[in-house]
Amino acid sequence: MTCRAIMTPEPMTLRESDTIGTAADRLIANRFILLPVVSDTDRYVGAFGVFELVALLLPKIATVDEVLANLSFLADDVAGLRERYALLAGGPIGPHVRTDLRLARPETSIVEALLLFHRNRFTLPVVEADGRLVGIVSYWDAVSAVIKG
Amino acid sequence: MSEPSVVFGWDPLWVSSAILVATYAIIMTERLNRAVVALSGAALMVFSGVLDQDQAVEGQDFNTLALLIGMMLLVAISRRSGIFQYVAIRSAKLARGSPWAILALLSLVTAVVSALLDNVTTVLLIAPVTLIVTSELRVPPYPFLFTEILASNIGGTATLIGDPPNILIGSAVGLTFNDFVVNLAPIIVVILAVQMLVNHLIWGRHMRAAPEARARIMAMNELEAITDWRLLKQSLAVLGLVILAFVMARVLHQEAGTIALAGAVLLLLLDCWPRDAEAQTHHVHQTFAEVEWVTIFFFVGLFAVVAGVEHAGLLNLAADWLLVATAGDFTVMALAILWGSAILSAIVDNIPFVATMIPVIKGLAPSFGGPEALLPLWWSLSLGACLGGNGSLIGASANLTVAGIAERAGVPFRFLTFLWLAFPMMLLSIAISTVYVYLRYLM
Repeated sequence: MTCRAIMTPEPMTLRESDTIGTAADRLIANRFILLPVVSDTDRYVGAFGVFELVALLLPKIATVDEVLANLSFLADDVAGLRERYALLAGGPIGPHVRTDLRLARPETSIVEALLLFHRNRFTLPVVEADGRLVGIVSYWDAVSAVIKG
Repeated sequence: MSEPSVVFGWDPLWVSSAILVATYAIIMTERLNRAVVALSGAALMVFSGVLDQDQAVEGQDFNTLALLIGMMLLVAISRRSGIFQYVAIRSAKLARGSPWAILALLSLVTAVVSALLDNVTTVLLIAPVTLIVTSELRVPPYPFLFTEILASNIGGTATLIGDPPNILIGSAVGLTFNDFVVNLAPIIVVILAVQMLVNHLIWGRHMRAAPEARARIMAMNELEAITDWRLLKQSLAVLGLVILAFVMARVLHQEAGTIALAGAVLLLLLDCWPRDAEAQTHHVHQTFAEVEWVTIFFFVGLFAVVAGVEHAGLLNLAADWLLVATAGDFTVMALAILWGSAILSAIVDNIPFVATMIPVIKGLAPSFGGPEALLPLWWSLSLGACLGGNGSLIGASANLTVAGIAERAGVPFRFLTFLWLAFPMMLLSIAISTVYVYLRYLM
């Protein structure tokens, strides 16, 4: 069994020029962990997900390694977080797209896909050799294909 | 001292000089890790026959190594308590959210902590909190980080343990913690005040923060930054004891290295006591891993390289050259050391420079009436080497540490932008030091 058999073809995607607000709306509405980001020619560029959104809401230094033990000394300021989000929401996701995700090919075996899930714990974009995004495989897809058949 | 037996019968003076120059040149390129380069230079000194193994070991300054390791261990344990973040947040609140007052207080805290701990650790602890505070205030962080870099190197100059050049000088010459405080702290206070004034004129007077931003600062709870109250009390008690012991070092007849290591052992003991054996092993392993071994082995290699050129007679020649170049005029020599070490320290690592200068200056003792007469030269070297680090982004490790943190937090920190302001401010601090050294020691 390969990724082609279990992937979701033509998945929902984002473009680099999409705003952070648009991306947040889609992620929240569909409860996705992340969405693949593609170019105008449908070439895979990277991914933008809920953890990128979380990082944008925090002071950037707090997301760098572990230079701060915690942020509990900050006041519980939801209004401040919303203000920060409002400033960011109109900006493009381009600079925040993560490009470090491991990718699968349509012919990647399911065993290999399981190993990639074990190492990355994220949805796997399925990309052809020419860089075209053809689908995504979630860990639920993979596990249920193995266990439920 | 035995005559070196160098391979192929080559002149030990030329061989050791070539190794020294090659070692320093490669360190400056930053192409290879500096500890690896220094240790390679040390190995070459031994394998070429300039030194034998016993002489390389004799060249080690174990007091400096013990002091560095002891202070690194003390910091590695005590930082986990959150004490430094507490102090930084408390300062921001004491300033009542006023950006300029926060900048001034954080700089003061940085200078004081840098005088008692190493500069890199200080900025590593203060800079992240500064970025949080400026983010909450919605003000640009660059002026704050820039000022903290200057404050860190200025504060570190005030004490024996504040900056590695002082540790090297103090250990080699037998100067105590009190000697440094009495001779350098007064001028450091003046330099810090002048730098604050300049920073106020450049940035501080234009800084504004909205009332709601100031309210966010006042709503911070600094007590939440403390992660371990027991460790906090233990750390403060042991750090206090160690500083007291530094002050009383002559009465106690103990070297600074012994005091620092003993303090580290005491804090390790207190920290391990309530843990089971397995947790202790894990904890001690983790603490030892936080010692900056690259720095320690850099020193080990450097001491052997300097021992090589000293053994071969190069540093005596350098001392003679210095005497000729300054026409034997003590005032000219002191000021030349001050300005020369400041300019050089702005562009090269000040640690190898000071390690090499120490035997050179020691070699001048017979010409000026003995070691006691050289004290002004040691203060000139210390002021020049430590303050010179402020001259450029690569002048001191603390500068690069802040720049690294800032860049990762999305705050650009460019070499030329820093140089444009920092170099003239460094020159100003050296000009003030010149007046001080001249009036206090040379007139």
